[in-house]
Amino acid sequence: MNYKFMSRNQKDTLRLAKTLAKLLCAHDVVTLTGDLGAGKTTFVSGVLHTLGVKEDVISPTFNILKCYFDARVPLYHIDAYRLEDSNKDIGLEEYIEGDGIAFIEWPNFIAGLLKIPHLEIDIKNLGGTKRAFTLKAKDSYYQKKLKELA
Amino acid sequence: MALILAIESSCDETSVAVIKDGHLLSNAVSTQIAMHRLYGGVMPEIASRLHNENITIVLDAALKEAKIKLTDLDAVAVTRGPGLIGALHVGLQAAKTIAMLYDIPLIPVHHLAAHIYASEYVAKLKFPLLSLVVSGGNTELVYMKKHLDFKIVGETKDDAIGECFDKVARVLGLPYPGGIPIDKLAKEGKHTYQLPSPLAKKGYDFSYSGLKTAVINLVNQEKMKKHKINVKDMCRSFEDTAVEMVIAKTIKAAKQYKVKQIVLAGGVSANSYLREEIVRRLKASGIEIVLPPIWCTTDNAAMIAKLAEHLYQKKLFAPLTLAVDPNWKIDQYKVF
Amino acid sequence: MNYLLLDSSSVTLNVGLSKQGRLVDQITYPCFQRQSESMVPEIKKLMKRNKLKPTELTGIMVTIGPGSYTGLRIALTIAKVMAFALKIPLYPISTLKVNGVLNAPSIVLFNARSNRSYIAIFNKNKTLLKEQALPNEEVKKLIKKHYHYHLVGDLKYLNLTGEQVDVLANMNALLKTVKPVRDVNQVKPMYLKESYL
Repeated sequence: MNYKFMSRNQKDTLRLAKTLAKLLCAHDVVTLTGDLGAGKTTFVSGVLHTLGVKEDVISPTFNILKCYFDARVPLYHIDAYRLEDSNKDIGLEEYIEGDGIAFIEWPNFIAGLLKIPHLEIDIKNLGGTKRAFTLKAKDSYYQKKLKELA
Repeated sequence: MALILAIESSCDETSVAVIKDGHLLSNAVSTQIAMHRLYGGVMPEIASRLHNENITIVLDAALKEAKIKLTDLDAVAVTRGPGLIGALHVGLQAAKTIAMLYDIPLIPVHHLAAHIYASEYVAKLKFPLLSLVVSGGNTELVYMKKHLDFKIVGETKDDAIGECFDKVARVLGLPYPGGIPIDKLAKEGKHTYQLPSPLAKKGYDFSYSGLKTAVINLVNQEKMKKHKINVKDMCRSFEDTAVEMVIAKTIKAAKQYKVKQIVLAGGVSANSYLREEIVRRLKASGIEIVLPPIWCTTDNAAMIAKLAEHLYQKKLFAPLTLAVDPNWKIDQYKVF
Repeated sequence: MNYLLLDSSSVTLNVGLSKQGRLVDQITYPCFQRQSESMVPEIKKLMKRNKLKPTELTGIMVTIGPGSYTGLRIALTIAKVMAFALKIPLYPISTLKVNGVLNAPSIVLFNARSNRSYIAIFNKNKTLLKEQALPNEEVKKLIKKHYHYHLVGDLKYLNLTGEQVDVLANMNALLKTVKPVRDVNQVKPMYLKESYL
């Protein structure tokens, strides 16, 4: 099941982020795909701030995993960009299948850890400030959430 | 005359140091850099495993070099944050255990604040001062009116400068950490590639993701056109642009806040171009530039020990229920 | 002969004191992801209320996994530093072993995530299947095959009900079967997963 959203600018993107944030709860997993500069981190930032995180949400590329504990549930922001050539055990499962909500950028580099139900978000850069969002859910649990989003 | 043991494990270096009355008696560092080089950057789980493997070895080395026993200690200090959560845990448990066994105070230390105080090994801090803290995971401008008084006047909104260096190095096929090879090759290159100067964010905030994307796009475009990238020239062009942003904002802030000193801090402060440029540009300004010794720019417990001495004076002690904070902000260094 | 027993490799915090072979005191409670804060203060509390000085400890028994990576490193770091400081030996033992039903055949399981489980099968003193990570499909087959064995662990993730055991009581009982390790740097955790593909 697909849900498409056309964003004209950052304001639109943050609106979508806010709406989605209200539908998420503990143990949810969200993956984000899109080229460098598409705005994955910007979107995650909007979601995390809606969920109660007060500080700036910056790229976790260097750290791979950033944790935020000041919201209702623990929030885990993962960037698998640097894991491209590696399939070694890196202990991320405890966070992906953990007690909070996990957001994963560049999920294709850790596909082995994502054979569980999750919500997929793809962002296409249409030029300027325009972005095309496609939200996909293969599992009935996330399909229900998408229905509420629409 | 307190004898303090300091432990640092926030990223990819396990370190233990011993300090007594301003004198560093030992600084043992077990670096994991070679391990993480294989992955193009630090891998948190691997870092945590190695910290756990190395902690008692490094502790033993530090005690032996300082010629002291654990029973001689007056206090134990540890990096509470910021850093990688799993890595921080190891240092914290070691410190809490020592505090518990010998019934001595536990001092929680802020990693970036410690980077600033590392310069006390070569100079006296003069206030008001501005510190440019630049590392793999952080880029911050910190204003200090007096000792232990930190105000963040500018910080990164997306990628940190060190992270940008690492990513660009990776794209150019250079090893990790990226700063060293880029710095070396840049010396032999010319500024021939036009890269966008990062957009001015509000005030003194930094933004490096645009510059990173520009380099990546440029390299990809040239690849598609089947042009060979002149790596030395790209290093020079990138380094000029990346360093120019921090220098320009630092100079502007230094003048606005009328500081007496500018203190460079963090891993990227080892970059020779950054060091030369900042001294050159501020030569006539009357502002003293403090450059940390190279051995002290990388993560190490000696800087934790230095700051711990100040915190010990102020009796900034934590209970044994202390938790780590991977996102600890420098202006919250008293809150734990 | 005083031994400190430590385990933080899953969702519980376990701190116990074994004196002359008897488990004389313990602190046990669910403590998911918080062992880092509480373990050291609880050790201090336990020793204090038993009027035991650190220098009176003979050794430290600690579980080394498999289990939560973060969790098992908490107890292990504390144990290593204590053993190093006090110059006493460590008694490392597998987490799955202390979670079995002693003196009866048992299959012990832990959620290893990514549709896998950490599994071991014991029968009294013998290890029938040594600690490893297996895909859940294979695990279910093993459970069916050994349907008469005790099934232990928090098995909600498999939609099964597992038995619960008293971990510290088991650690105390198994202490005499563990060889002491004097060089703390020889003790390596059991992570078990090498690649996830």
